[in-house]
Amino acid sequence: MVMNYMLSEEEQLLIETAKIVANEKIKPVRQYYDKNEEFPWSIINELAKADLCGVYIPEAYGGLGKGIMGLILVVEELCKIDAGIALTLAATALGILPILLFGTSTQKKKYLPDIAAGKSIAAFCLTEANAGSDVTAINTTAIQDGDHYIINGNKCFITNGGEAQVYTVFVKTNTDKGLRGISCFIIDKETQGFAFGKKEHKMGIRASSTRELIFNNCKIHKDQMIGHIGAGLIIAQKTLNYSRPGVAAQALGIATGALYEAIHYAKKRVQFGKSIITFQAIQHMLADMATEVEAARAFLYSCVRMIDAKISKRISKESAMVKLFCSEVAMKVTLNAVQILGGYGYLQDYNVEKMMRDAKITTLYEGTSQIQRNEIALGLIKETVINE
Amino acid sequence: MNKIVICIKHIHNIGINYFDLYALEEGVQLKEQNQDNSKVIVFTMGPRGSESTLRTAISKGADEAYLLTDDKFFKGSDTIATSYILATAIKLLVGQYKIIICGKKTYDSGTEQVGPAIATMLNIPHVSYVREIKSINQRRLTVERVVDDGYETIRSSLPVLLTVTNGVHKPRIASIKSKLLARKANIKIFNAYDLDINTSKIGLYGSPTQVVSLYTKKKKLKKKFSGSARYIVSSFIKQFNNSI
Amino acid sequence: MNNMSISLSYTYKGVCIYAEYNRGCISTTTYDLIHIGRSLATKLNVTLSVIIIGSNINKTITQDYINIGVDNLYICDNTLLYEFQDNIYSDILLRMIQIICPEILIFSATSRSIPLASIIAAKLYTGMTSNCISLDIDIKTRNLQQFTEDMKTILTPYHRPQIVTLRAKIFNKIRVKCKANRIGKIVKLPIDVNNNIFNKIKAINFTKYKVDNIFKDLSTAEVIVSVGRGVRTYKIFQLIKEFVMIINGKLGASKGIVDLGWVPYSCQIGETGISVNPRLYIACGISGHKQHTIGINSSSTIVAINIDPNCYMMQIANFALQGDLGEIITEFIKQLKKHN
Repeated sequence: MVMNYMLSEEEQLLIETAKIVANEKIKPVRQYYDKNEEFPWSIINELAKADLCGVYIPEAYGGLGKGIMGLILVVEELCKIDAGIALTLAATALGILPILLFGTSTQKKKYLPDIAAGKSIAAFCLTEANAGSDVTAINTTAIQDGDHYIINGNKCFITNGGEAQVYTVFVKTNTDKGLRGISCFIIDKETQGFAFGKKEHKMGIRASSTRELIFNNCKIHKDQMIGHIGAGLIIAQKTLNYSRPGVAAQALGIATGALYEAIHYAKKRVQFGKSIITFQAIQHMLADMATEVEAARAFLYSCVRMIDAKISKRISKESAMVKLFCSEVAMKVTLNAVQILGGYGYLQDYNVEKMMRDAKITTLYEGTSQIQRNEIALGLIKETVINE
Repeated sequence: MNKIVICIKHIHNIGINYFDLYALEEGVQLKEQNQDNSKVIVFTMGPRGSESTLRTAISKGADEAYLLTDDKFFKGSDTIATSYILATAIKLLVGQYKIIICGKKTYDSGTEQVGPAIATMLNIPHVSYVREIKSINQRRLTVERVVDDGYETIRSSLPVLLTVTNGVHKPRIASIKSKLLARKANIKIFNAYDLDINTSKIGLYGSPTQVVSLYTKKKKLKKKFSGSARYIVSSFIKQFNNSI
Repeated sequence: MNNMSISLSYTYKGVCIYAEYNRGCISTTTYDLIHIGRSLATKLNVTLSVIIIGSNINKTITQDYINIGVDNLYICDNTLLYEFQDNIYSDILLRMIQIICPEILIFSATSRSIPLASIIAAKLYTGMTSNCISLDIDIKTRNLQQFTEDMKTILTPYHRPQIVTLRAKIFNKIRVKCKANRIGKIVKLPIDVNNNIFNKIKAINFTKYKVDNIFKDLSTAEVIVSVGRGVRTYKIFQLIKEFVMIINGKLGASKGIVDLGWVPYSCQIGETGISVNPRLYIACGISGHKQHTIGINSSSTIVAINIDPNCYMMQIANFALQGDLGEIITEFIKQLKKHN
């Protein structure tokens, strides 16, 4: 990789440390966790020891204070080796962002330090069986009862579900107010009335736990609410604006890992008396893959620099673009990597088939590619109205 | 104060010598196991660039670091001279130590002599090729070592010097915070004059052994053998032994 | 630093071998060392001495050594010395060196002798070269030329004794000239039982390696014997295991053999297994698919044993042995065991 993004010395230190953990601790066990769909607690422990869990959390709460840039650099590096395991870190960031962005200092003091230390992980709980792309269709209710709220309903497809300690859950506090009737609560794992459904068996990111959440008269204190009542949708949208680059980083890491596997293989594989990397067909595929990966990276890094600089509050279009672009690139690159490895690419012993399976989710969660396009178009419309 | 001394070597372009990582890890784990005050002190002898390896050691748990460097007098020292320099420094700068740990050999020259030589010069016993420290108290320790034909358990009084092989404790990955702190850590630097060392015994001219030449490796052969099994094996062994 | 003092060059004379003796057994490398020591002593026209320290040292060994060219034997025999312990032996060895004053002192390059040699070198502040692969004498200067395995020639011009540790040959077949009932001198030395080193350090326990040790630590192994699909029967596989143990190597395998369950997966060498870089790689019945050979460092010396002379492994090998695998391995065991 010859492109130099002028990262600071400390940012390079983050990458270097993530690389060491990925290669020494994750690489030997990635096949095991993928095959067994086991949650990688021992790896989370290693990430915690290396101080990688709190890169985006402010120093005041025990983190490294490196912002979203710090997060995506670490996530990208880990995803080059295994996206499923890296996802525990990325999904925790998503789950904790509502507190980070909108929480009171009491809430932050209560939850952020343990997350930064890697002692607890988080989950973002929005999706329901009938509410995927259509977020407003959520049915989980929260009825006020004195100083408490009683929560009833189910969430599905929750990453880190069942393993996380901290859940940021989006519920309907007022069914009449439509979009303004959604609120966000922090719910701890041990809360009574909060249970977990079965673990899903997935195509990819199998080391990650995806579960259903079941709320049955779950009683929580009003102090657990993030922001004010009815702010839920705004919180969700703003959170996703910050977390989408995280998904883009996952996709970018997967794509980069697949690209390296493909180049490495093409150099060694001899057919018709020559390395297949000498064939123009392969060279052109690799050239396209490499160019797209680099373009994705350049876009992601510039976008995140802009986000961290807090220049503008309007970042939804850009973060949607970057998530869309990187995830689509990941799909293309991993498919081509399998193609280049030929028959061997189809075997589980070689990692590219896993990378292809892992890449698919990036075009689906945190908003499907179609939803991203909606966001982008909406942004274009709003911008042109403003400039006229 | 229990002082745990680790001797490490800096390898050009690579960093800390592979077995020294294990030595450091053993030392740091010993420190972390003891409730009383223990300190890990790292020494290295080498060119100025070895400083980076000392910082790596600090990021992996060392408390103090000493760089013994002297382009005029230390350069070109062979293993006995190097051991002499390290032993002199340890005696002068550390005083009472509980244990000294070295890697079993260096990656590049691999003589395996430095550990035992330092122990001899400090007049303490040593145990080589230690794989695990089984128990340790104020006066004794018990270790398991690896020899050519098996494992041996040795009990020794303290202080003692150990040379370690890649044993049960894997070297830790330095956390980001400790790497950031290591960058600012104070490395103490000493030269021949500071150590008041007999320079006629060290360096290129004082070292007992001298490298006279580097001979070129014989070209890689391609030899074929066929016939009776006895003929094949006899002629192969003869040619193989001659080719070295 | 000028020429060695005249007194030094006159005081230190003779070649001396340290014969490693542990728990009642003499090391198998001793014959090798004596052969080399004898040739050096003859070139220098000096005597050859051998030192043995241990407990209950076998009398027939001592006469055998004299018969193959040893002039003097220095022995320290005591029950307290049953287990080899370098910290304890070094005091005794030092006294013997001070009596013998050899100009050359040779140890075998083993995990027991190297630290012992290092103690002596440090005590005497003299030169020591580890892991020599061969030695020669420069007749003009009487200096010992020490050739190491990393291609250096080392001298110890101004210090005595010149201490070296010599690597055993992987394939060891020495025929030593034997003269029955040759005359030699045997000197017995007592130990100092009051030496408090006996209180400081003790070997408590020893566990010999089991057979499955040949499957471990392949990534740092110096000698690897690898098996492939050409190993047709389990019987031949067992012969190969025996061969591996004789040459102190480790056992690796191609994917085909791992899939049969004969060896653990950790022994698989190649693309979906581990990478190795031994000095010597012996491929038994391996045809040499790229998926396997990619795991072998290109600087290793490769020996291939195969019935098919045209397969890839035989073509890239430095030594290609064409024949029946079972017969060749059996012959190896016969010829190498004969020596040991």
